[in-house]
Amino acid sequence: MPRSTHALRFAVLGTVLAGAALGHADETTGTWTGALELRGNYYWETSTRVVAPSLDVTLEAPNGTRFGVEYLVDAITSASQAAGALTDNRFTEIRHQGSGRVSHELELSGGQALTLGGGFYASREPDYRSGGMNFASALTTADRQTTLTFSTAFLHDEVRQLFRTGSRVSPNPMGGTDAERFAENFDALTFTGGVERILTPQLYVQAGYQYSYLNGFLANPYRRVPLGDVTAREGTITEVHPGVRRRHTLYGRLAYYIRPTRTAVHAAFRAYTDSWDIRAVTPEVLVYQQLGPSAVLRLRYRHYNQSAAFFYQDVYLPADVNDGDLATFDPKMSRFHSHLAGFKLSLRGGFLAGTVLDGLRDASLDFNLSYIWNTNRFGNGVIGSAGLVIPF
Amino acid sequence: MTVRLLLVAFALATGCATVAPYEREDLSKPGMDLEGEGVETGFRAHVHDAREGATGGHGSSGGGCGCN
Repeated sequence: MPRSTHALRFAVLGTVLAGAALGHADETTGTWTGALELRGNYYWETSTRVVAPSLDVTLEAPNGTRFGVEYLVDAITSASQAAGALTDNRFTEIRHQGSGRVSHELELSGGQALTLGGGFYASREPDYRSGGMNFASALTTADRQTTLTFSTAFLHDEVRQLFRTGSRVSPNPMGGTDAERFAENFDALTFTGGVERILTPQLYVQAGYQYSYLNGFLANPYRRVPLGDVTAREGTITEVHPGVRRRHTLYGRLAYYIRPTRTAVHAAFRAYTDSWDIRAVTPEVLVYQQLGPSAVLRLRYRHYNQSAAFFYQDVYLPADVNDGDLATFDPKMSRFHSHLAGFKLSLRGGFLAGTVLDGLRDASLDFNLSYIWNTNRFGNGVIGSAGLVIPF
Repeated sequence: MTVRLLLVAFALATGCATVAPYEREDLSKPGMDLEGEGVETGFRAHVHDAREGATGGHGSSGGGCGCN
């Protein structure tokens, strides 16, 4: 087993054990609180299936310090289209992801509060490693009506190539022989600033801006770009994307509670542009409807619409492009749009009080399913998940 | 258009009257406080990041799965 996999698992295990120790403190003092969340996630589309179980533990100390750890495993089964190859080979990859987070609220003079937090993230699959850290802060006004937020995150990704078909000469953990090994990296730095404000007893607003700077290898190491048409009868060239990408995102959300019907309505909007000339808008509406004392139904609609990257072409003609020129066969570089519609049903365990399952009376269970109508080559998709949250 | 919407939102955010803590009961009702949806939102954001050219606004920073 690769040393990095050991390191990741030990890091996650250590953090979980630390959380367990903190949980013991709860038993001693009676003042610690927390929650355990188990979730099964699923994604399906024509060329890709993802099954991703996850475990998340959150703890809050008497002094307000909050700790959290998460562990997630992705089992990603892809056909050629998602992997970018032109042959129809199906394969499964396992991705491990672990993260930890901590935050603490400080009381400032004048009744203001400053929350400081940070976290780390690590992800590993046979041909891709990713790690990062983030720092977040939130300043809340004395009346607790307005919160200003700022966060920054750094990400480092290592992109490798694992030969999945034909003669795999060496089972090198990062793929290929030393001579053939593909080794590229990229780094990303993100800054986010936002404001949250309570407007009325039933209405609040959130708005923010995010800037990301990516530098390094930003293409897919497997994907080849067909010349002529997609049958690649005229050959293929290497996919090459620009080495720098600057991304700008504006986002906002209004949430309103309708007391007579016990309905919460969220209207969200996101506008995006980047240095690759991709421009996108994402309006979204969510409606939460209370159904009796123990159930909430959520309905969701999301629209996504983007323009193409400046180097994207439906067809690259052999006479117009050479190997090494900017070229892409990535569907998400094309002009396309999608519609997403879905629902989620959440059940609280209050109705279990006094039964043999009384221990789960504070737990909640949810199921959600969304369908995506997509106009690019990825095709339509399904996102689903089921979760169990047990507070303690 | 987008900028105008955000300016309107900001004007609303800075121009409304004080809401006392005892008036905020409805803001903690199911569906208003989305803090508990973090894990679910994280996976969904990861899917969108891997399938769309745009990203951001939901706290995800990519990584893995060809999300770049």
